Amino acid sequence: MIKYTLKRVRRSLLLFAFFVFFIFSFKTYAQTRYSPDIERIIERGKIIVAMLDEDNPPFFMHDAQGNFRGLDVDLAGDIARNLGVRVEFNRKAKTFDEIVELVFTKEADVAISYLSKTLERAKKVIFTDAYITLYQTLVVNRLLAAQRKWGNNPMKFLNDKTITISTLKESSYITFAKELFPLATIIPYDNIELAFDDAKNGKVQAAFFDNIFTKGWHNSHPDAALYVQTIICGDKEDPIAMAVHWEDIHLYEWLNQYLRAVIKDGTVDKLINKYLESGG
Amino acid sequence: MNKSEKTGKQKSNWLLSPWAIFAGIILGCVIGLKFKGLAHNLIPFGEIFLALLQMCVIPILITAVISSLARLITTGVTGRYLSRLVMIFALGLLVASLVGLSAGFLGKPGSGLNESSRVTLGKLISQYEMETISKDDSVSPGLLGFFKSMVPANVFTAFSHGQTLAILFFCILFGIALGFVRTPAGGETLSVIEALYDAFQKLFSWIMYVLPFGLCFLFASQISQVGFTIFKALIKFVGLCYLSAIILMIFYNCLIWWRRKGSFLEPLFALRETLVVAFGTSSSFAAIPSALRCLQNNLKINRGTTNLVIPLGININPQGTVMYFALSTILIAQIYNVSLGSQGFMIALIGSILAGMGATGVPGAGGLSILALILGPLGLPVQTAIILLIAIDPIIDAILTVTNVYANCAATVLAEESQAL
Repeated sequence: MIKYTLKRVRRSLLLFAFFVFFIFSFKTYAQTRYSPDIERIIERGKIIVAMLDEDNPPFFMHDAQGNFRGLDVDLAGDIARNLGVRVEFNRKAKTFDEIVELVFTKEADVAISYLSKTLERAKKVIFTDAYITLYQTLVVNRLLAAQRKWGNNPMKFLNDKTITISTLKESSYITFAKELFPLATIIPYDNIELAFDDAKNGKVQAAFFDNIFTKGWHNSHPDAALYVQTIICGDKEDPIAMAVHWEDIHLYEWLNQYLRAVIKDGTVDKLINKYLESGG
Repeated sequence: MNKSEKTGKQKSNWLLSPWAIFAGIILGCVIGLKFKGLAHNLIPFGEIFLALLQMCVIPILITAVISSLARLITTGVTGRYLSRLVMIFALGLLVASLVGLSAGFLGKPGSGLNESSRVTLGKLISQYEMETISKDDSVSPGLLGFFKSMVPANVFTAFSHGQTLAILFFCILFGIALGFVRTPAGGETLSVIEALYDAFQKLFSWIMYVLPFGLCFLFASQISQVGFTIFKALIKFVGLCYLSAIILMIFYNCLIWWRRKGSFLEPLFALRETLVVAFGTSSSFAAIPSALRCLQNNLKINRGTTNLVIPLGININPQGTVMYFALSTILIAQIYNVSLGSQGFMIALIGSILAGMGATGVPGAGGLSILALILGPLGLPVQTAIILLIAIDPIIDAILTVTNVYANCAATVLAEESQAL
């Protein structure tokens, strides 16, 4: 009798355990609607986007009314909308390399911050396809070039020990500049605008950055062409991409699919032109 | 000549009067300013008129230079005459360069440009460089290029391509050679060339009947295309250019008046047609036939002198251009806050003369790349200067052409007198 009762209790317990397992597994199945990396963002209700602390028009900046806007801001907002969450910008990073660090340590889900795709950074994070391709661009002080008799093509004279070229510190352009002009002195600047201003004022022979920034800088300094000659290195590409943690494979694929769509329908081009024309 | 022919000629003579020419210019300006659509439609007619004027230039240049030099050789006064002519040209060019430099130093066209002027110039350079980014490989012809373009490998190619410097070089040598052919056939050839010259001049005199209409078309199309933004940005420079050109023209007028001893305004009145053609077409070459005609008919200058000095002078004695280059050098130096010093002054003085002479052989903006000859040694940006001068060219070109032509008319009068001495 006791044996029979124990058997019944064990069966009931088993049934109960099965029921509990069934219920719980059903609940888990019902809650896990997406892959873990996407689910993490949706469950949190916000996507954390790493972005440099300093404004970089036309990618991210504050307008005269104090509104935060720019190509990267719009893209981040659109990505959040498509994921059904809100966007939060993590702007702790003081350099572009620190942005990569924020993604690597999972303090941010994605870096959307005018970030150049370099082999060094790709050791830590996964880069999406480039959403815009920039070209390495030089502005050369006209008077200094004329005094050194460089003619119309100063490029070949810049790789010299007596030459100083300014660019943004801890950016990929430090590496690019060292590759292009190994003999010249590359001066890292905290502020790229100041680096360009110094080329205009003749404090350095040339400043080095990308064509989009240069275009924006010319828009905000319309007299600059009188003092500097702009040279776009057509064969020196600088792809700008988003970066995700190396484990977030599905988020990476999802972002690529999103980027292909916005590049194809011309959204990226429209946005960049809009922000360039509005003076960055 | 029967009565009806005479009446017909009298009827059409009003077309040659200064009032008709003046009316044509004013009408052209009004159309260019107020009726841009109509002005645009008139562009082809202006081009036809310009082509009509230029049609006679090369044949007149060839026949004039060959016949005048051959006659000069046969009369045997060559050496002293030519050295005086070279002296007249050299002194004239030096004066022109000095006037340009003085205007620049005193007027300071490039110092303290205001913000809006600098913005206009910056935008202009930016836009130009963007348009020419792929073909920005222009090389300055330099002095050697000048001499290279002077010697034609094939004289017929030079004729068909209108390479005036090469044509002139060939005609000078051919004229001298013809002068030394002391056979009856040589004399007859010279007479044939002179007859051809007369025929071309006759043809040109007929073209002058459509001058008022032609000028109306040219002015309408030119005025409608002038960009006034750049004019505002460099208003001081443009003003100094006009002032220097007027000073030089008063100087030329004084020289002619001093030699001719007539009324002070007589030279201006006698050469009005030439000056108007030069102003309306902005082409010294197009004004050659008219200059020869007016100097011979109105100022009674010897045909041999005019036929040699004018074609030669238009090619190697462009005093207006020299003044302009000197002034432009100062403008660029002042824009970039570069002090020239005495050495720089000498480079600008001589460089402007050489560059001015070199620029005449190369048509249009290409000629401006020779500015490297002055700005290079001074360490000033050549590209900026070329872009600014190209932009300002439509406003300045006409007055510079008038100065060039008037300078050579004055040189002709001086050469005539010195030949008589």
